[in-house]
Amino acid sequence: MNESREIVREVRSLYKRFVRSKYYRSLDKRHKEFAKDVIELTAEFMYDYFLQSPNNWVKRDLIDCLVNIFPRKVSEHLIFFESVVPVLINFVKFLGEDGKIRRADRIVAALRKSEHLIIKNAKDPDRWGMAKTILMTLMAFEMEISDENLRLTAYLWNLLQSRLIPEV
Amino acid sequence: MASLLDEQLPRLYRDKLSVGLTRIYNTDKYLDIITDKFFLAEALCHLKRLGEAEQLIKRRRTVGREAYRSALISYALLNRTDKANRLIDEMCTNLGRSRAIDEIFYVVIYSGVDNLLRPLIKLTEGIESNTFLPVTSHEKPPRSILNILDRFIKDYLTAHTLSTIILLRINSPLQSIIELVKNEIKKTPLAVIKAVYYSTLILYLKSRGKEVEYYKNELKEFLKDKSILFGSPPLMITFINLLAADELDVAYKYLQQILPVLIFPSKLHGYLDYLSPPQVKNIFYAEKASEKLVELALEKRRVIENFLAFAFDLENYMISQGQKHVWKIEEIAAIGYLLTRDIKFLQLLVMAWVRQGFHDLAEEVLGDALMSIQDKNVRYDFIQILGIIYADPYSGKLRGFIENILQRATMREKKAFIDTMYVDTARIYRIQL
Repeated sequence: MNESREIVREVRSLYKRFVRSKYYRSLDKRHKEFAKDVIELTAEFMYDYFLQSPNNWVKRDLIDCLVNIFPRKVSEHLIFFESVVPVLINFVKFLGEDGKIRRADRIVAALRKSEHLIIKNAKDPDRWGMAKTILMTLMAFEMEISDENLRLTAYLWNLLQSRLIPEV
Repeated sequence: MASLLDEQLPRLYRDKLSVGLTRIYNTDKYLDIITDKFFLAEALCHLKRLGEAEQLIKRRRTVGREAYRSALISYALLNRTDKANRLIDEMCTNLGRSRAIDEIFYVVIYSGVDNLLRPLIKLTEGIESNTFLPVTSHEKPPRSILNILDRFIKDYLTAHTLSTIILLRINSPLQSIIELVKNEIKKTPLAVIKAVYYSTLILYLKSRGKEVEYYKNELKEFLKDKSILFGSPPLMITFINLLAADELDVAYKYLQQILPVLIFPSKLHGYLDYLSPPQVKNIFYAEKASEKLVELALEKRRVIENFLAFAFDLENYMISQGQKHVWKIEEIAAIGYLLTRDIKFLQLLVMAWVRQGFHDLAEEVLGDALMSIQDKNVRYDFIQILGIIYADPYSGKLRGFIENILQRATMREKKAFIDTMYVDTARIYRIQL
């Protein structure tokens, strides 16, 4: 638990410096909006699933995280997933320049190669978990994420998943 | 598609397929294959060769049932109002009013001919609404409630018809339609129906650079009216019109009402359940199912049917608006697919994906879905939705994938594919006047 908190603190501190760098400034405006969430979520999942902190991210695990874990777990509009690769490419370049990460160029190349697959997987609803489906329902219908709305959507989910009507 | 034409398809289906392909590719290369004069005239009309079409059908006195739509399109475009009206009467007698309305609706959308609009609305207003009142486990509501429901259903059908025509013909609208919309607004007492019309007017006026502030303010007021609880389909149409008009703030306010309204009637345990459009007779084999189970099953059916009603409108939005705000339609379609597991939503997802260049995802998901189908009726429905995907102008390389699937399809499935493609190419490749 302590180590996890340590990672969060480390990522936030890196992010603060990243925001002041040329790499952040060169990001598109719509990607800047999601930069903090993309970086924090990536760091969180990379630690939770692979026990890796940003300075020892392994290329293969990072791509696995973005291609498989992100689409299943992250409940965000599609524009978020379109921001993942541009944000991480610039963040990894920033880490590389700072000497915080090794072989940054290879990670950047792998990220570029995986961009289409990350967005493609995020678009495929068959990859979403139940919790994500419920949150995405609220987001699709532009509803506030409140207890009442979560109850309503969970009711809808339960009603429609129940086998009440015999097959015709 | 050449392989399908080479096969031993019945004549009618060769004709329909050729008309569909003529519309998709805007070419005369399929004309030689068409044998029926009405189908040939329909294809010629699409290619704007009206003189040749007229020569073909001017001496024809009888029209076969299968060629009703074809004949009506030709009569409409050739300005033969007398013949068109006689044919509409014949269609009502032979097909029933409901089917006839459906046929005329598609012809109006395709041809943009103004003369058919008033007969269409007259028929829609005169429809027997008890067609839509299913038998439920509840007692029959009192007459006063039935009268309100009757009013709602008739007004909703008219509003849906006019709104869909305007959405699909926004670049080439019918001359008299706005006047009709304004008359209907005066006639309906229900705010939820007025909302459909106001959103339609906003779309129409904004696309012509006109001021819409008054209608926007009225739409915000309508949200306080209890009649929005009557049903979610009018809310979805209102949302779609506003999305097309780029009025996102008001659009999202209507979108936010849809799910609560969808669930709301279940809490009433009463009369609003009668709004459920599907036929729910005899869905229980057990003689004595518990009352709670019956209620839940009816509610599930009603919610699914409502979602499917949204599907038609979401589809029309994409046909009319192309790539505009398509990510929002994609989000709703994904939820529709996950909640209902109906392949109609898979079709909408595919239409949204190809509009964003994700043909590989579409092909992968369609392939997986086909592999998992074991029931021949589900496979039939699946091949049927491929008809509209094939017709979609954004499908591109997906068409080759569909042609491969068709090579292994049964004749019954191929006929379903061709029927859908023939019908939907008229909605997609509308004649611009």
